[in-house]
Amino acid sequence: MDNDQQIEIELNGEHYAIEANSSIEQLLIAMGKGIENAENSSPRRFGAVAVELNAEIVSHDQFSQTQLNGGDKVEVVTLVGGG
Amino acid sequence: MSIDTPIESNSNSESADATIPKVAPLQIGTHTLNSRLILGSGKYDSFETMRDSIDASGCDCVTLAVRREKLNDSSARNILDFLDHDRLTLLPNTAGCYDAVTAVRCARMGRAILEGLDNPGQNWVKLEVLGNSRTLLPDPFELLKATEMLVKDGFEVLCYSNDDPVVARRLKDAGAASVMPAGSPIGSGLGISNMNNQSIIIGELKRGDPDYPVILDAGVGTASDAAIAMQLGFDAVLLNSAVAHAENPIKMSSAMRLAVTAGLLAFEAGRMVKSTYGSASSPELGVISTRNSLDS
Repeated sequence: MDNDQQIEIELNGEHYAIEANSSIEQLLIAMGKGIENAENSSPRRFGAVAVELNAEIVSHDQFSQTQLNGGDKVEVVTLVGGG
Repeated sequence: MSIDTPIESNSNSESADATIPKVAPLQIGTHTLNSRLILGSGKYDSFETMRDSIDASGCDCVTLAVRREKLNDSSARNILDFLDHDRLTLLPNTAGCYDAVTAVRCARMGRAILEGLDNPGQNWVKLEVLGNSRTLLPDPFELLKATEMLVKDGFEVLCYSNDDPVVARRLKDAGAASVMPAGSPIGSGLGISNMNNQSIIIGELKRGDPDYPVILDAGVGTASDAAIAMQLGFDAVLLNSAVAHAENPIKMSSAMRLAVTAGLLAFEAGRMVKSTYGSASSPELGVISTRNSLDS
């Protein structure tokens, strides 16, 4: 990693670079998952997503306080059509 | 960004004839369903067709799958904009999982999403643990393991099972809120391939526990399959492809709604005894013809 401002995580099975010391909330915003017009709401809302950090669920109210570290495995999932 | 009226107010009042007896609600764990039809939300040509099919079905429970968010696609329309999730109980599934540990993770992800939506479906899951990608039939060993893990974690588990009565029994004993045997492989449209096994499963799971919910899941191809399932004594039918892949999904959805009700009423009414020989419905007395000599 040539840029020491960035860390690399595994996001949904792919390599993903993000600023060091980012929280899950910042990751979701970078992914474009913040709910529109909710920038000023507190806590920020993300709607139909769940986040798993190293195979453990992170609840919505912990998104802003949970920091990411290099090598973390993160899953960000939502609901889709299914039977 | 506004999507043009994804959810229309849906008149859920039965337009049906008032002489049709009311169907009793179905209790599955802590959930009460007024409709005996549970519809999947996959495979529709469009979200609009899905929404209209769900409306036509009269169902109050819809299944959904848990999948990874796309990394660079915030523009995609969200299925939840087309599901009235204030009214519908959502039932997340673990479709596509092939081992117990992954299925449990998937179930917890579904729960976390529904907690965020404040939907009552957050405490239950349709547990699917597959054993083969061609048949999509369950792996009963991993399924049982996952059931035990999820029950311990406080889930109400609705188990998509194969049609083996012993497996069904083991799942119930492990604490499944409902066992849901496959009529035939998922998406096959073959109907119920082993009617006798299904009858045994219903009989065994309800022995001494008549309110235990048993649901036919997978394989339904058309309305008669759903009616037959209910006539056998299933409490509900869960289907997706039969509606989504019908030429007219919305009309097929209405057909399924009627079929499930018809089948349940027929089951409750108790069918006549079958006979090898005929039995005339018109009186023998006073008939103007003479008896056919071929009778002897």
